[in-house]
Amino acid sequence: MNPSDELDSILSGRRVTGSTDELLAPLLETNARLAPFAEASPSPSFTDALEARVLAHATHLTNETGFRSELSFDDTGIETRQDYAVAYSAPETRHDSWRDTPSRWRAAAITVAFVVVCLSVFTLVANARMGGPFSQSSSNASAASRARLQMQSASQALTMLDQAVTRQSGNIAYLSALTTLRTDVQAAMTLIDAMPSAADRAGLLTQLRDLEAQARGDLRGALPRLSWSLRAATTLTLGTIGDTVPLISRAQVAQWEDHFWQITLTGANFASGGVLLVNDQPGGTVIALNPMQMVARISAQGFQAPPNYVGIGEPDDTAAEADATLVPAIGATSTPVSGN
Amino acid sequence: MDDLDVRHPRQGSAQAHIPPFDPPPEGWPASESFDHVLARARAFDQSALTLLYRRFMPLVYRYVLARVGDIHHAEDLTSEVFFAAIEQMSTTRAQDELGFVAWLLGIARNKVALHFRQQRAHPEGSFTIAEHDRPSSSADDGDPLAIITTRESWDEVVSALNRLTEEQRAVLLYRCILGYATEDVARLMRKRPGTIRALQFRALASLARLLGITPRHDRSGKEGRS
Repeated sequence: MNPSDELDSILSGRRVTGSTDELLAPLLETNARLAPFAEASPSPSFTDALEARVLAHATHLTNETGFRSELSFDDTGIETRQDYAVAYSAPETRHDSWRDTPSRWRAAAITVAFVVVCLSVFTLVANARMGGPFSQSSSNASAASRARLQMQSASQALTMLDQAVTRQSGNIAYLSALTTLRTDVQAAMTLIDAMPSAADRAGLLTQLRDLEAQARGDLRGALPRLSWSLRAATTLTLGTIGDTVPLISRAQVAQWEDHFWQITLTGANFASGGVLLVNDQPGGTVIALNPMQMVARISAQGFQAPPNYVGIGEPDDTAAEADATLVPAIGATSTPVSGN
Repeated sequence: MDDLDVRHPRQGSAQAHIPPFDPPPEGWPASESFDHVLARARAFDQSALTLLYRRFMPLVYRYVLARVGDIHHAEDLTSEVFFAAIEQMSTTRAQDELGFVAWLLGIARNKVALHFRQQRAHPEGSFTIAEHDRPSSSADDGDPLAIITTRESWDEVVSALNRLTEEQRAVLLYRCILGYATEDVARLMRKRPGTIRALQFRALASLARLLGITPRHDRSGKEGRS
């Protein structure tokens, strides 16, 4: 056996000693020097926090791209890290309620899905049978009925969302309802816009505006009970249903002197009293703030590497977060923008 | 791959100096194949993403840690890898677990390369590795001599690893740190197992030379380094 095969056998545990021990000994000793890397484990706090952020990012992408995932009830029985964010809000009750609710949630979801599918199929079949001289009016009626269905589904999603908050059913239930609400409202809006009859359109538009107003009220009511990452997701939805919310178009982080990170957020609708969010937690000191820019600094003590997920938390509990870009270090003489 | 390959990379390593492998992650449904989980993850299914994250995050972390050498940078880069992975999840062509690992570690390799480029561009932004930022090992739990030896050699090992050729470093990372079997490393690197064994031998020999680890007969007469 040649030395490389013998070494591989020993490393694989198929051999303990070999005929070329003298030759392989330093290589095995070298391999042992790599052991700390192989044994290294990330800290549980980092693991948990990153998992929550990764899942929140996936949700954000889903919202941003309009991709509508299936209702993500946890059919594997595994509790995802996002659930811990709600657990953080109500540690005494959340776990029990979570364990109690999946079957009810699933039953409700299946019922809702079944009703929506049946109504959709019924509408499609009815549409298919219509035609000829009635095509224009049937098309109008079809668009109106589909818009009503979308609004009905959005209304049900809003009910589910309210229940998810009240019962602390977990982030997945909340985010699923939030996504459904947003996509259904947008779909209804598209259908209403495409309707040829102004009279029909006006009536449906009024209903949609009422629904959006109710949704805004419910979502804003839910905000104080949510983690900052969920508040950011909720704020995005609020923005899509006509609310005025903070938006971040650019986030930059730079080293400031040796002991601070300076974070500059550029965007819109920043309110006086807003706080810096770093990794979903408030922190740091706001140096300057105006409706379009926040400049804040945070001690490098806890962040030797630059914070890469930052945002603004508003006094009204809305929030916006974004991935930060590292820019060159700033000297002590640099002056941030003036603000209120 | 019809069924999930539940074998862990480090399975089969019985040598005392090779650490025992982690237990399989909890919660992975044995009945669910890897490609099914991956398909669900591509649709941003939260439970599937959670499964993949819990299974592969420690792997990515160790890979990155061995390249950059300090915990804070390793955590930041691991975060970046997973954010990038989530954003590109729908485009991955991986069909099985090993293909997914190759894809994920490819992202990690790029992030590490970018990190080193940024460090070269802004050297003033880099920090000295504090004592508490260095990873500990099981040796730290007991023998004080082992603690000293481990910590003193930490920077030296990282530096030496980074001086190897790309292929030699990859073999050591996949084989000795992530613990994949030779055949799996061969698939990851698209080479033959025999080539991997030869690369592994040369890589360890180079690393030994860089670390000043000499054959025993050369040590006689020298003051003990070990």
